[in-house]
Amino acid sequence: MYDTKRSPLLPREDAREAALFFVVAALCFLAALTGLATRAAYGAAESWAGQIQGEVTVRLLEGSAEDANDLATLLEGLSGVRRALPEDREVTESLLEPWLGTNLPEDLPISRYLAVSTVPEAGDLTRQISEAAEGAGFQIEVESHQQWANDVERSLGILRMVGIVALVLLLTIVLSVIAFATHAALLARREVVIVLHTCGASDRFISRLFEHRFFGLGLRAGGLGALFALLGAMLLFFAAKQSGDRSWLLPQMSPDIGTFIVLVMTPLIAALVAMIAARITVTRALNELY
Amino acid sequence: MNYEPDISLDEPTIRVDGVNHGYISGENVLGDLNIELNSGSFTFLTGPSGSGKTTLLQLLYAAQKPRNGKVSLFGVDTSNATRKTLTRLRRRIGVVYQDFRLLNHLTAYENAALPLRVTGKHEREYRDDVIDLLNWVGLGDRITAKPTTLSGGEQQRVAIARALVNKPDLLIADEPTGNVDPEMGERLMRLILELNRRLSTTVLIATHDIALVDRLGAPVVRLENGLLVHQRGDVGAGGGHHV
Repeated sequence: MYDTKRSPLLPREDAREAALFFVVAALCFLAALTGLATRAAYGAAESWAGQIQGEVTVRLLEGSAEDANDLATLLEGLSGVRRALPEDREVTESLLEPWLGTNLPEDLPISRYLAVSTVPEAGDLTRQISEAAEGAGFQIEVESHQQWANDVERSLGILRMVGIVALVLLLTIVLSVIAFATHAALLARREVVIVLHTCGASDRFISRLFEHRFFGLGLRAGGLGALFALLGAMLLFFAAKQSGDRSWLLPQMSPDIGTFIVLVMTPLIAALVAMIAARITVTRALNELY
Repeated sequence: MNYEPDISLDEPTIRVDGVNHGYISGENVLGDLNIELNSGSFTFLTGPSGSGKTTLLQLLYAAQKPRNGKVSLFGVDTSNATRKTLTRLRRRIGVVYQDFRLLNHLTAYENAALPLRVTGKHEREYRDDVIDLLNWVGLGDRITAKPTTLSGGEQQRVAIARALVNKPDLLIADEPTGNVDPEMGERLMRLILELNRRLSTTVLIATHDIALVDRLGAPVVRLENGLLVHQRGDVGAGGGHHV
């Protein structure tokens, strides 16, 4: 009995497709790593912003340690303030050390600082703190770190933009490379395509053969690239662990759901891009064939 | 919405009206051809090498569009037909190429079954018919062989089986018996004649084999330097000709 297991209508992969596989895998590795790095850097910057936005520094222009304690008690009574802590004189002196040096005279009037932490949902409490303090007769200045927060926000925007541009660029390269490879594959199999056409195959039928081929290639190459990106991310993760106190210098890699999504989406997007590139290229090329 | 013209069996199967065709360089291959082949006719196309036979056949199986003039297949002008219509036309035409054009990565069976496979038919619908046809052309024991392991004659028989497998309304063959021994040539011609008689398939065969042409006594179109120089029999007069 004849074994009717059917051969694929397009000849199996050749050396060119093997080379294309590694090119796409390398691009997907870069894309996944870019995605992970952008996400990690974005996460770290958001965490800094969160910390800044939850803190307000209050400067008591004139007053004793007792006044600072009274002001702290007053501020802790405000809605949205979690804690108000007067800084020791030593801390204030150390802050002024670059300008005034050490061993400041005891009677030198220096401002007292209070570190006020707020609940994130409370928003900007600058006005409420000023009004409450001035109402109780304290002369104060409030620094909500808004400028720093704005800088961090701006950096976040730039990071997001760079990440997106890098990803779009890499996907465009994948698209172009696949389109080029599909065109070459189509020309290399011109005779096969002509025979299929003459036998009654529709453009869509032929296009699907190439789409199926390159979807599979994109999926496998994307999967390999994502796997290598995962290994790279794990390396960074362990490097951060090893660095101890200096770990904040490295992107905040963590194996969470976001990482999983980036790694799963990379091969899927690569496969879809490859499929779309193949469809467009084959449709255009078939029109040129006859 | 695209207008899809009807493919008609009432119209002449092939109508060539004032066709001029040439290379991009400008050199003319066919000059002012007018030919009409009715449904169910059996016609030979003869002429020396380079006379334009293969180019004319390419126009007739819609692999090319004429530069000037009109080629109509089943009443459809191929110059104005959409790609979908051309596909529908091709599904009604069986073609035997002089160089066979078999796909080397497929078996003899898969090559022969190709016209049915590309139309989306399930294999169980055609499997037995394809094997029967391959048995009939004497390749029953070679169905799993790849073309590279087949002789020239065997490849030609696979090409013929591929052209006949979907019982086409028009069979166009370029030297279909050129690579087989006389006995097999007779057998293949009998198969084509049977197809012509039983299913009223219109047949156009390009050949150098004058003995074959004389023996069958079918109408002849003769080309020389791209020009129609001689017609014998019922070509273009309508009514069709059965051998």
